[in-house]
Amino acid sequence: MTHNVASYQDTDRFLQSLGLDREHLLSLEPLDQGVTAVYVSGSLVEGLGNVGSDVDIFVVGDAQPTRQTAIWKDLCAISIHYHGRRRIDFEYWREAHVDDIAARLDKIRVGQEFVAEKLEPIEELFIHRVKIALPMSREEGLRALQARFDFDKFGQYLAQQAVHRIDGGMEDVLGMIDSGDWKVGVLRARELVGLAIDAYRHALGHTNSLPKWRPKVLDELATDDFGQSVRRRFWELQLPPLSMLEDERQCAAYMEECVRFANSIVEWVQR
Amino acid sequence: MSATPLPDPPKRSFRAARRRVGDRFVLVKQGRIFMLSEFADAVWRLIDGVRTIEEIAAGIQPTLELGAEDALAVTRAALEKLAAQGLLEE
Repeated sequence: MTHNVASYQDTDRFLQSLGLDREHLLSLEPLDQGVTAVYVSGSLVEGLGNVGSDVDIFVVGDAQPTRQTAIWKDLCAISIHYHGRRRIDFEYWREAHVDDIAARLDKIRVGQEFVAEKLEPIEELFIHRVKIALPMSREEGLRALQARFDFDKFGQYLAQQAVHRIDGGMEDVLGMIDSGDWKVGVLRARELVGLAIDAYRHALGHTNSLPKWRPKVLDELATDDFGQSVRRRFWELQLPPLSMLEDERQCAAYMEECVRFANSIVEWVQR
Repeated sequence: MSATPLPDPPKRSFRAARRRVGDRFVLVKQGRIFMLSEFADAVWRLIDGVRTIEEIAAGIQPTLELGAEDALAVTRAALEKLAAQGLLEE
């Protein structure tokens, strides 16, 4: 599978739009040895971020941050810098762990087995960020890294995982309707709508798994009647009138509508 | 056996979910799984709470080598089966 890899010119254009310089950023961390790929990625690269969003620079290899202020997480280490008010994170990922993520994605048989939770949420985000990355240095390292992941399969995996989550949520909602557990049920039903949007966007190849970007991705996808109707229904079901909570019948009707919407999206995804 | 009375237009039970299993589709309702033939699946996909039984039959007819009357009869039979399994709203 081929993937369009961005060039340094793309990176420089992006960084300049934020008032940043590639060489200066690279000088902030000791990246001379044990590094196979350095790239910038994240919400700003994707056009989803805002003035408060971090710039995320990924370092893949066996190098580790040397600054005392680095944060060590289970799966990666983060070295934090600031440029004015803009936070610049260097995320260090070990080569062996990246190999393991790629191997686990390879093993998943989408459509043939239960495929939810085969990857940690941070690993899902890592794969997505490899996909949209702009090279900072060692461009060939980024190309090799991108070639290790089947991004189409990854999108299918995320879509199927969302369908599994919808099925779990649906059982909850139906049980809550039957028990008259209205307030909890209304919120759970609303979550179903968000999960349905996840299935929809992932099936279309949008592999950012963070729920907070659902509205922006829906705007991107609203290029035809279907996309517009999905977006309209999403907002209608996200923001029902508060007065609904005083009327059990209205709560039940709302929950039913959420279930119907989720089912209609799953049918579209599995068409 | 008397036929289950059919609402017209028929409406899916919101508790029933159509899901792909391999290259086939099933309906799942409250933990029970109902296998769908290709024909029953085609009927199910046309049930939207707006199309009448006749309109569903007309939508199916091009895929069948049947006249309009026979297409309506087999469509009605498929709908009756779905209704008897509780997969349609009463």
